[in-house]
Amino acid sequence: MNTDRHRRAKEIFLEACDLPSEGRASFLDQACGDDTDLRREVEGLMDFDLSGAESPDGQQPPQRINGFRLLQKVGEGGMGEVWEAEQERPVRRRVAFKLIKWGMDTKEVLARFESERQALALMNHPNIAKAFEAGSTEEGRPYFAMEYVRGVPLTEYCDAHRLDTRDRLALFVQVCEGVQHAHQKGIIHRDIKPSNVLVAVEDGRPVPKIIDFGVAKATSQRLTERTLFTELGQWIGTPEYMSPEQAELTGLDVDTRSDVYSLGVVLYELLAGAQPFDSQELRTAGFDEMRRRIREEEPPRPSTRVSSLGDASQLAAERRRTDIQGLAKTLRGDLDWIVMKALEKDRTRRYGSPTELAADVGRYLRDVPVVASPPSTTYRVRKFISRHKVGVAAGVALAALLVAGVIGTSVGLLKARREADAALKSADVLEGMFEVMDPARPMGRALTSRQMLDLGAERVNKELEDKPLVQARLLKTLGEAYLNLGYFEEALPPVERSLAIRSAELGDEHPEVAATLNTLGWIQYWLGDFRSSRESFVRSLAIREGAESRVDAAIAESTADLAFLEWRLGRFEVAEGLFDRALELAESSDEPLQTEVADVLYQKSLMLNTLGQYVEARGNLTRALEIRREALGESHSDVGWILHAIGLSYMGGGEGDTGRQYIERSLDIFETQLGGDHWSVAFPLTMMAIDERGKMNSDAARDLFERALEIRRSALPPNHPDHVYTLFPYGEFLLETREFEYAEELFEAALQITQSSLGPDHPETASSHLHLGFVDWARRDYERAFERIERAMPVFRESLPPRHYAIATNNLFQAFCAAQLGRSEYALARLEEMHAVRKLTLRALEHSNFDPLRGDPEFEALVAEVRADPPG
Amino acid sequence: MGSDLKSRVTEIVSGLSGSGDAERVTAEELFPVIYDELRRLARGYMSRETPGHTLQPTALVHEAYLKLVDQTRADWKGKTHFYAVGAKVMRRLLVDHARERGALKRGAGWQSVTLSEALDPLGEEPLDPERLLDLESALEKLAEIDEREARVVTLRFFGGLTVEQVAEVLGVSKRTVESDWRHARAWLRLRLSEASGP
Repeated sequence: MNTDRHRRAKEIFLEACDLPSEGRASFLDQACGDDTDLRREVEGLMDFDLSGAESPDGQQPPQRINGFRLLQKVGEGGMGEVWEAEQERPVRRRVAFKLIKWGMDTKEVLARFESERQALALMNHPNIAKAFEAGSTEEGRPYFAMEYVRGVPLTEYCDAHRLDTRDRLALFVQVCEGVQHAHQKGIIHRDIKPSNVLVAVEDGRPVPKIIDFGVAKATSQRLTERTLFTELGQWIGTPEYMSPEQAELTGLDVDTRSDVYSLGVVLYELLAGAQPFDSQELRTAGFDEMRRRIREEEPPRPSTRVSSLGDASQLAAERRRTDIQGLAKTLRGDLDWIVMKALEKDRTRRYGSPTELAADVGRYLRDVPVVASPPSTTYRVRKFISRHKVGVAAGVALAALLVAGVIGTSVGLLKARREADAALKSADVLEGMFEVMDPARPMGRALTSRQMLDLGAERVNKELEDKPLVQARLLKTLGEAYLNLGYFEEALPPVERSLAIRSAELGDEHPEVAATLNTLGWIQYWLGDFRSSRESFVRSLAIREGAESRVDAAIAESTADLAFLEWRLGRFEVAEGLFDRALELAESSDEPLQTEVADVLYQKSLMLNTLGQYVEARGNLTRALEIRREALGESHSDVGWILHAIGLSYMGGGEGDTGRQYIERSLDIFETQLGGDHWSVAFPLTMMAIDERGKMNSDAARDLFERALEIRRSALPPNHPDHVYTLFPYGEFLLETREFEYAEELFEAALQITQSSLGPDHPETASSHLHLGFVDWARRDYERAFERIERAMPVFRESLPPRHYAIATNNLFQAFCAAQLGRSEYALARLEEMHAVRKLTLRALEHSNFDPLRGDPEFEALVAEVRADPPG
Repeated sequence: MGSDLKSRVTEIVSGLSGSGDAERVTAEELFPVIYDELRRLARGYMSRETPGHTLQPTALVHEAYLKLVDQTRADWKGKTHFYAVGAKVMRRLLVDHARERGALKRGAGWQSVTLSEALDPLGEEPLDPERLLDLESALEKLAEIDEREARVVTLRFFGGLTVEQVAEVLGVSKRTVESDWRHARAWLRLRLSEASGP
């Protein structure tokens, strides 16, 4: 269609739109004549016209509706229009007649109103405008009739009369009383805002009256992103006054405390002359951001707000018969706290009812101490954490899930600790241990557990030479205690010595030797020496399986430990087989081995998580969680680990919000049970950092990453593979912020660690190469990127399932690099390999990175193939 | 972010006024700065792996504005002009990325885009990258036959500008913007429906 015809069609379309529907056909006949193409275009446009849908033909409401005579329009808003009207029957009275706009489901609106009708009728309070009736016009538009209040919105009234703070508060208290009355009748307003509180003058004094009770509920549709977006310009429920739980939009869980929040916003505005959140910003921020702010962002205190508004503050102060400094001074302290308590995100921290809020305002007016209080430091810290808790749309980073290693664990340590529990539970037990040796010298209480251990080790070594088996037992316990405290280097010698003693005294095949080997294996694991660790587990398992009286629990344990190591070494299939065997043993045992079952389920789920089998992982974890909760209680750190793993499975599966909640619960448990510097804490911190990064909270992400990095640095040996759990995602984050040097530094460190502790053929070592390749890629050094990525590929192919995400990504990146470097053949090979497993799309092939390949017959053939048979 | 950059951007947007060559030149200076910032912000979103994740261009433009412009020094007009350039940038960025994302089919990144006004050319869903590309080619066609209308669409969809703001940027009346807008939406929906077959 050329420009002229386009113009013509547009003109006719616009003109036709202005006509009532019945006149359109004849207009089109005349305007288009026998130009059928033009006619078809205009009709097509009319079919797809959106703007006309809301008010067909722009009808004016009739003068008289069901016994109401409309007198004059007094307002118009997003929800509809408000008329002053006269009701003629059954009683003649002046009413406010609210005509809801087109587009709402009339039946539903009326049904919802009907459900509250009786309660509404029971309301009788001087500060509430009475609701009379609801109905619908002949065309089906719902309407509400209510007491007509001759008044102006609350804030307007206060400003116009230049009421000072105390007078404003007095009016506000009355508003609270009205809302309280409604609550007692079981009615929640849901849309309290200054324009719904009109101030009338009765007997010479101002009386606030709350209007629209029952309306918000009746007309509230399920607010979806879409309806909000279409209506953002003429928003009905008012985001500025919306409580965090309303902003959730689940619609399920809004109670009277939501009104308390809205009252808090009204109070804020009455006092400071501005809303807690800048209205313009809130509305232009986009839907999710708007909701996030309402739910998470702490608004400034009113006094702060007043000091930061410039000219607007000047005006606000004048309207309150004071200046900015004076106003800020009035607000600072009690009034700030009252407002902020009403605005608490967590409704359990708000005033429980409008009366309580009013009572505190009353205390202020009478100069008695208020209930609200400034947040304490610890409270603020908690709040800082909780701010990061709410409604997080979590995402897991691009490469974070590429490879096995990123999902972490601490299994070995946990086991070691459980075994050492007896030695660690309290100082008494430790003392008891020493008292065996020297009852005359009780230990001083002031020693740290580390000092006690050092002292104990010294004496066990020196003084028990003549009792080798007792010595061996204590040495093992000591080693486990060191391990649990994170002193890996110190843990090794006593356990090695214990092993030597037991082997010498009991023979190499004794079960006690096997038990010591297990402990040794975990210490080796934590020292990053995976190969020795595996060897220890294999030996332990062999002893236990060969023992005369086989103990299922023991065999299951060794099998699961070995499975874990195999997994960490990248041998997934071997690991899975071993896990299943361990599980079978634990489940089929004569006595129920619930603890073992939970352990195996947990360890296996960690592997499933890394393989992307989140649902199956979660099934296992849920079972393990039940068992451990039963055995250990809600807040045991082992329960925390399960919660953490469940969180990972949700985050990995794309349910970031849910995942984040689990992760934070695990953090909470670790911090409380183990202390904020404990290595465990680094796991949830890293996941939260990844989450914040996905939410683009760069500062929060950076802080969390740094904290996690620091904790691991101080708690783990420098070559421990666990460092990569932070190094990879943090480095990826730095790539996004274009801090290439720092990113490279971290990835280099990861490479060094993985190479030395896991060996060159481990997927995590390969992943280190891949990550370094990303840096080169970001710097447009395709040659180096290509080399890096090429190194990773054979390992991935060897150890990961063929459809694994890492392989696809690797192939594509390689193809990109190769194309850029002019190595068409290689690029094509990668593309074809990828195509064979996961079908390529046309769009992939149209990517500009492949421009160098265009014209190549093979490439064109591939394009043709994809075009002919597009992926479903 | 350097405060130099921020004050330069603030200066540019505050100086933009009316329409003419000077404006064009300064807007071009602004384009790469906004592009970098928006790309950085969008990457944050795109790095997520959450399936079904929806990107909101107007929210990004707004965020870029908060980052790049000193609000104490910029007025309504400055903001409007920033958004106008931001809308153009956003459109380019989304299209670039939709093309890339097509390449990385199951890769990370946003799965769809929620434009600031209900476009609904595809039924009731937000736009996925492929449909966004369809929209882009329809928009290009529109620009060939009615450039102003295409600009109205860009400013509204990708920058979230209000009718008033668009009128200000284009130097036309609100009424004209409204007509263009109404027609453009119907036109795009019609073209897209034709493209996707009966």
